[in-house]
Amino acid sequence: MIVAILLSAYNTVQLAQLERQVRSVSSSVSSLNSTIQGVSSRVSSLNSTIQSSIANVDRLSEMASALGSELSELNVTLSGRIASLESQLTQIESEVRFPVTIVDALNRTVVIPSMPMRIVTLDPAATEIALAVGAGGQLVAVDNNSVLYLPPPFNDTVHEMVANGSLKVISSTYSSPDIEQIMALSPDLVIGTAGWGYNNYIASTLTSYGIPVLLLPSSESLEDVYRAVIMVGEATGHVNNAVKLVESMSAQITAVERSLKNVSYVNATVILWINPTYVAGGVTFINDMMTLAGGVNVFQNLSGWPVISSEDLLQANPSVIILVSNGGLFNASSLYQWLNSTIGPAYVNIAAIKYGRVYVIGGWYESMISEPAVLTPMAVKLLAIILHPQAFNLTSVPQLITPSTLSPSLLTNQG
Amino acid sequence: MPCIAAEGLTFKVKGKVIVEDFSAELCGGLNVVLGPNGAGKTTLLRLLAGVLRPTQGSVLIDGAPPDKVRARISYVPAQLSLDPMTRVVDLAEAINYGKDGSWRKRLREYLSALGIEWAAERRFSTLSSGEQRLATIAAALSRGGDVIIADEPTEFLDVSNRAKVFALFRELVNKGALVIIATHDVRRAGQADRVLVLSRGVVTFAGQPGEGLVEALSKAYGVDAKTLLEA
Amino acid sequence: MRAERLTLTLIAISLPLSVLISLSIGPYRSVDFPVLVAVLMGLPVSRLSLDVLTYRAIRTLAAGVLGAGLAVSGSTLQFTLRNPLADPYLAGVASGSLLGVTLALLWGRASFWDLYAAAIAGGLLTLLAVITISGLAGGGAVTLLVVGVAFSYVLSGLTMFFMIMLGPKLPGALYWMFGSVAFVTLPLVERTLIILVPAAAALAALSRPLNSLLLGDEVARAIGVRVRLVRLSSFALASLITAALVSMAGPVGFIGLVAPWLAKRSFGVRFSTVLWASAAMGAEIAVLSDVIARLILFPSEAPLTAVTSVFGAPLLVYILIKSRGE
Repeated sequence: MIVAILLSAYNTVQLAQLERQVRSVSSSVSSLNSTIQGVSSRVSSLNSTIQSSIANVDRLSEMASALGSELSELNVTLSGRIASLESQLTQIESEVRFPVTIVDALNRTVVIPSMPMRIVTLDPAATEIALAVGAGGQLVAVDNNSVLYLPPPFNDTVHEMVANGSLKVISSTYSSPDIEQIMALSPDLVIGTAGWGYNNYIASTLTSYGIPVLLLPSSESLEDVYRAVIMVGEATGHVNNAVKLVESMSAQITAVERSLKNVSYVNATVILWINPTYVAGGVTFINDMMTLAGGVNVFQNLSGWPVISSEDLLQANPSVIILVSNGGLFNASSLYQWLNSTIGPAYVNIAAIKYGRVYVIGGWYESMISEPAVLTPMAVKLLAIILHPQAFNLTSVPQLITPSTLSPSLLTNQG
Repeated sequence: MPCIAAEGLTFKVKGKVIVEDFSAELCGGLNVVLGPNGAGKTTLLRLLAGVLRPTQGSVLIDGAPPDKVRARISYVPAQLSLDPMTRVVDLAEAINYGKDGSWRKRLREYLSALGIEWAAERRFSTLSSGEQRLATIAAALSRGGDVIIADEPTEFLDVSNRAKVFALFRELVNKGALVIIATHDVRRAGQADRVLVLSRGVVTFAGQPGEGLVEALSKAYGVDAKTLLEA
Repeated sequence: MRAERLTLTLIAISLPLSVLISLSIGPYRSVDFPVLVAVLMGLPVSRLSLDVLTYRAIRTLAAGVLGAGLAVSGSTLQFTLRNPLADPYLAGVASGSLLGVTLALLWGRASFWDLYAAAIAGGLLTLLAVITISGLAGGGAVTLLVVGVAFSYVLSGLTMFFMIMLGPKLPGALYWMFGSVAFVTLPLVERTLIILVPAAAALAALSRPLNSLLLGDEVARAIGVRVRLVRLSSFALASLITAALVSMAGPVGFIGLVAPWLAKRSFGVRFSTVLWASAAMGAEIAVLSDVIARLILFPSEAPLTAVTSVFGAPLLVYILIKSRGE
């Protein structure tokens, strides 16, 4: 339903135009068909020549090799025709859609005159979405954090492209942004998440030099992620892929919800840091994901990322505690130590601890939980599996959850 | 010759009386105000210069209140805390607010008279305390007024410099100025045209230096003043 | 006299020189001094080179305006409060701006102009509060100082309180803590100048009475200076300039403290001279600091305040030591 609402922005006239163009492609395919038929008849005539002089084996083999070379010539012609057809299709797609006007996350009107071929992304979420809609070939640079913190398969793609020189790396826009580096790349589109690092300032500076900068909504809800995907699709000329991606994400989440149809909600909390102890409050993306995963955030009455005390945790009494390890910095005993040193042995009365349901998330699952973007359905499924393993035919879940202890394939299977 | 007329001048702070009912008329001449610490000399001088507003009473200079004749008053305060980079010319320029550029010439003349003509462009922090005092006097005088009110002008000065300062004041008086000085330098009392002795805010002696002065001083300071005068 | 002439010559040579250096240096190495010369001579260069040079030019301009403005503000406060260690941030204006920005971010406003408006509002409200309260308590130099410092602390404390609630939105506020000219656009400089130029002109008009404040309140009053009026209005004008600058580029420290000292050292304690001399020196220090900020962590950038503090503090100590020794 969400997809339908978003799709309503489309220009049906443009779709009709596409249909017409597709029809002309269709006729090109028919002419190809007739070329193939021509070949067919040639093969038949060769056949009769062979039948008429059966005794001449040498002549036969000569003719066979002539046939072979004709076939490979044909192959070349066919491949060439197919390639030109493909590029015509891409160009058609872009001619139909560009110039594009998008209103971005900060209500800025961004105009992209033609299909961008020199895209720079400013943060991992933007890079991930750009790759996911198929704009990888149009990227010229990503930021440093995208090289370090993307989950698979995106990190492999990025590393490969950096290694073969087709992708440059600019310094992190979180800590040390550099306008000149970005300008030096002569980008025709810059994509970043609004409010992330210095992105907003970078946007306001670059636009005065005529460079379109698209700021994506920062993920605070599932709708934000869908909007971001569609925006990137429109901006890069891959609307179809974007739409398909949103549909697939939506379907995966529906599948998870189906599996959770009859379960009762579980009180849970997601802890992001220990001492000072930050938890995900209400009005955060994690909160939304927890709800989709069949959980109730015990701190949803606090907004943002509040700092809590051990007493708060004792009072809230969650049945499941999910701790983000922060690159191995924290594990379950860090939590117990902090609790013990502040409220003493009483901490064992917290339901999650009493019934052994404290889980630590490590590896690239961490960034998947904290900045999900395209992998949101996987993140939701991960949370769902943790909260309701039995709904997914699992008897238990390991305490330390990393890509090696809980296979990513479990998170992508439908249902 | 300018005249200062004070009538019932009183100054109180939080009920405490600093100067009590001061009435006098001083016309020209070198007037010296003596008295122990805390007697109210500084406050009296401030009242006469129009720097402080009296609680009661009035001050008139040739019939006009001090704020109407600011251009004629040169006030030399006892202390000045200045920015370390301040030069003598800077101080003089600041003092000559509201006046034209003729002060530069006057400054050099007075610095010369006091023997420190080289100090014009120098920073105060590079001068000795005696030189600082001389420079402050020269700067204040560069204002060119004919009513000169100086609070402890001879502090930090050695004997010869004190003599120079008094000689300069005498010269100004001869040219028609009214000079009022507050000082501890009791020995100079003999050089004054008129002496006022202040004790706990009250004038105990006003007149020419002579017999009555010694008595008044003894009472004010609580010691035999003869020894002070002779020392 | 000799020292003054020497300093004047030095400024006249080094200021254009620092501008040229600033235009020739940057992470995009291909745009360097020869390219700059080509542009100045009217030769054609690539669109990219022009863009990069424009970016550097705007940045240099912003740094110059920042340095000059801070120096003017610092000089004024040093004269009006009779305190050689006064700096532009005395009135708590920077803390007010940062609080405004933090609150704006918390309320979901993140666009640059929103935050700029919040910064100006925060700074101006703080200034108003400081002046009103000081005025009620007598309006003397010490009162202004104490009330300003008190507001600085209170507002900083409040800001920290709110910053924790920002969570991942925090970096948006950091720009306003670190200070930088990297994201200043031309319209922003223009808006700042609209406030700065009239304020500086007003201060220049107040030169003579402001200068006489150095005599101390009572002597100044004796020679006809309207002490309270001059003090409050110069304090307000100086802090207004600070508010505009902080909203443009965040708080950048030390220039407002060091530039007046350098000017006083060469030209004496005379407000009308110190005003423009410190402005020129402040502009130069800012431009050079920005160049260093671009180079020191090449190709990343260091925060401008870090550079000015690290290099500014020893410079101040050096000045102090040299002046005492003479």
